[in-house]
Amino acid sequence: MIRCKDVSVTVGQAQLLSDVALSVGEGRWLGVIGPNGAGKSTLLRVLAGRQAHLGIVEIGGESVLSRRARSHLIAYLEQTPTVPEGMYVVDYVMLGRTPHLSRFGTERDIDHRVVSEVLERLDLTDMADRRLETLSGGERQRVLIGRALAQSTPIVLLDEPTTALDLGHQQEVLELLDELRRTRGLTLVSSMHDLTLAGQYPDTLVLIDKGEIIASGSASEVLTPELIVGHYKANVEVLDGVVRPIRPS
Amino acid sequence: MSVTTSQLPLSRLKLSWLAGGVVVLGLAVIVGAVIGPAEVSVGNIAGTVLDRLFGISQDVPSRQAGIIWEIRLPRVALGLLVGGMLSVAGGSYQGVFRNPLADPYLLGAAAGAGLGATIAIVFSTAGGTPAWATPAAFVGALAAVGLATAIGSAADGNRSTATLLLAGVAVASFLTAIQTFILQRRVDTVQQVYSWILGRVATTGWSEVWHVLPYAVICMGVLFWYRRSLDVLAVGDDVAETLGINARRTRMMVVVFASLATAAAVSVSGLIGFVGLVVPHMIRLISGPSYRVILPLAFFGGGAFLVLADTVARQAFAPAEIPIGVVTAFVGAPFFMSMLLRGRRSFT
Repeated sequence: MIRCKDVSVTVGQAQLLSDVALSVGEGRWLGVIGPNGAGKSTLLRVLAGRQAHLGIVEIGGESVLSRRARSHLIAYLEQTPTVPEGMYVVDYVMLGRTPHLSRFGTERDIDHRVVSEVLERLDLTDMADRRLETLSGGERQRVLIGRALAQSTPIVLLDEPTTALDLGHQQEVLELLDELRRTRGLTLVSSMHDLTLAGQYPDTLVLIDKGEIIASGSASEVLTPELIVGHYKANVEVLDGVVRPIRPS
Repeated sequence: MSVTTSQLPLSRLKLSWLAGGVVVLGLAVIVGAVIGPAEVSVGNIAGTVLDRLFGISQDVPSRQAGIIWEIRLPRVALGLLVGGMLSVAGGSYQGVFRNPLADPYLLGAAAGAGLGATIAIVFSTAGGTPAWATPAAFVGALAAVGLATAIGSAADGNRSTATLLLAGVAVASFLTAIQTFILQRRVDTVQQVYSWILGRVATTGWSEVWHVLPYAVICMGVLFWYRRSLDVLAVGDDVAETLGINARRTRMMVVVFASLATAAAVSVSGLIGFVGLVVPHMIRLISGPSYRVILPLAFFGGGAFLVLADTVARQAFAPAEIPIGVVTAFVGAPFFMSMLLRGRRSFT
């Protein structure tokens, strides 16, 4: 579904990504991990078509995509999205339907159905007529994810989707994404900070640091004490795939 | 799925709001046409319109018909168009720049029009305000906005709107300096130039209306076309692009046609402040932040507001007229303040 080869990004003097190669099959979930500034967001921006780069990025077998074609293939949730103040939850989620609307921009039954279903699944139905700025951080994050899901694309890119959520809502959102992946063959790429969750949900992880892929594979292959200690500069132990920070003695 | 589709409380142009807008505008038009030095009845107005537009002969005294058709209605029509255009242009700018202080004169249209009119008045050999003050102001406004957008996009090829705004400020200062210089050299024309600049919707017959109408139709059509895209732009350019919206082209089209509408309005009416800034905010406080709703209602609201303001401007101290900009600010500012206090929220 997604294939990258020799992808490099340079902005000014800074090399943000160097020779990144990866591929994600249909219905798979790729978790992108790495310390702050490693290049996770840059990689997602490249996949979303929002970052000039060298190298080849193929989405669904196509390396050149029109804006419109891309909008039917990929939904993208930024790490710190602009939250338009005053906008209602339901209007915001409906924006995700933009690629599917007619030239006149009128919503059809299918658009209403999809948005209703997304609101329902993300437990947002009761908040549909609330303004975005009145929501808590967690509620807002679910609305943002809702907008991406309402786009009904086969690929969803999520940059730190659960950062603002409490543990319960983190699990809820990740379970929902996983269910959509299993039942509808959704292909997911998400950057993640929480290494425990990263070990539980994505089927493949890539660890990047300083713009380069350091390791990729299953959680047990990537979440090793050596790699985490070496690249996160953290003291950890890994037990049964669970990364646990340890206070330096 | 427990939610039925009809329960989705989407922001959209409700028929009741649209009908309300039409009614308000209709009432404003009637008030504007009825009130004046000579008494005119609603029946005679209707009769004259039927007669002139559809050739259905009505029994209206010819003096009355003349006042209605040649003086009152053109003025009301011009006020409606100018108010509607300024209001929609202001609302569009506020959306595209995501800036609550954006008004239709943001990119230098006012300064350009002012300079154009000044040149026309100062260099008119016949004295007085020449007929070509209007086209000169139009050209000036377009040139100023064109210069600002050219500099803005050349200096900053990417998406930042701040550069465009700064370019607008720079162009406006530059043109105002030229205007001041010319005026200083020809002090005898200062009063004429200022009375032009201060704004009025005085018109002789229908010529100004015909001048503005094509711009109103085209610009409003384009801006209404892009109104949903303005909602999408509110989520930021990156996400808008992934939703299939060409953010840069949308912004450019909206800026160009809002500016064209402003230039056309300024060229026939001078600088009427407040309408383009505040009417869209008033609408937003009532209707919420969706531009799909704001822009059409802003046209009705702006049109009605300016027609009423003009009625006050010409009647309050009749036979003397007060500049309409004074009326729009004097009436609009307290009203807007009360709405802000009542709504307890502002646009950001």
